[in-house]
Amino acid sequence: MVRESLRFLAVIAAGCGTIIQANAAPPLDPTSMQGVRDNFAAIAPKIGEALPSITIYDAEGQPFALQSLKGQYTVIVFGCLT
Amino acid sequence: METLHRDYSPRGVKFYYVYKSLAHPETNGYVVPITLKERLMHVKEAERTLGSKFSWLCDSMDNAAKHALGSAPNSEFIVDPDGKIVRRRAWSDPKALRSDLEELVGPVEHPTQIADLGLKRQPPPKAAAKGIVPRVVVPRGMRPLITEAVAAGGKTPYYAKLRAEVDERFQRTGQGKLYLGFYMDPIYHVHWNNLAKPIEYELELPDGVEISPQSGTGPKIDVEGDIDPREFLLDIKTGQDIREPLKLTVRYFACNDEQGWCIPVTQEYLVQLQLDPDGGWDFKRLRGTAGNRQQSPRRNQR
Repeated sequence: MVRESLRFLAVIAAGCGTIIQANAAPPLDPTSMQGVRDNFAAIAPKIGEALPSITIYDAEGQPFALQSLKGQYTVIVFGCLT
Repeated sequence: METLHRDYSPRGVKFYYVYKSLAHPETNGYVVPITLKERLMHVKEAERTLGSKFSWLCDSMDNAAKHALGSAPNSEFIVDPDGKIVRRRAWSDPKALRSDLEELVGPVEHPTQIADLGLKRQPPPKAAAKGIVPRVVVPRGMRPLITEAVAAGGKTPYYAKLRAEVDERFQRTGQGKLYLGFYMDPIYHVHWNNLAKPIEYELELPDGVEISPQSGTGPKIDVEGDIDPREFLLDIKTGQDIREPLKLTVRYFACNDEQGWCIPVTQEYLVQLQLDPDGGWDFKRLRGTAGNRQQSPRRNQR
């Protein structure tokens, strides 16, 4: 039961961070939480680095530069409906 | 997470959720948006259903923020007043985040408890009955393909959205199963019109691709309307290095009871025979246990 629960959590954790192409060896196991963590450790900006210079959107659809997040401590959490 | 917002917003900390590509399409009926406008509708839906006090940002449709910040589904970062990253975590951990904020900003005398928040989650929209049409049973390891809605952003939304997947065998050998699922998008509050002709699909194939059947018709359903997906499991065989997409045309009737309309819709997709790294996945199809008439092998052993 515990093993199945852990496996289920691992599948949830794997979410949408995989990079696999058809007929190619997958660099990241989509069912592996460790795979997601390893990928994140390798490619996410490091401690001390600035946020990347990219523009996304606010909730109203207006452009929002990530690097404008200055002047206070800011918490950023990625998420989606499911 | 919301307790942190309540405790640290008054201390000047800002909190943002970044809405990214859907991790697990079909959960609660939600399907992958195909335009920025639809992803922003998802943001509003998340605000409505989760009751969060966070501000929301919305990733671009090329998933720039997700990719630039580590491609993890639920990561978190703390940025200092100079705009430098001072904490990063592949998987969000509210307890660790509180510890971080205590260290960086200072402790809170009486930390808010979840019970203090009175969070009111709202259910997802449901335009009609579901659980009527039997789901198809698929092989294990189904993964999504890259699809492009040809007229995305046009006058008529893609009320029914395509999800195309291939099985593990196809991914290894180029021969296996192709899954075509058409899902009514709940953000439009629509349902199938079962008083009209059932959904039809038709595929136009590039050289080197064999698919059977190339066209098909969905089941005739006895109730007037429902929101169950219409699913087709096809045989597919390809040669090497297929770069041309499949062209898919789908015809269906959609109804919106709130707005009082039913219309015929014809829409087109291009389907690349290439896995979509941002397509998310459905747990059951990934494990090959989809189909609402089938139990998992593990359960059968008990």
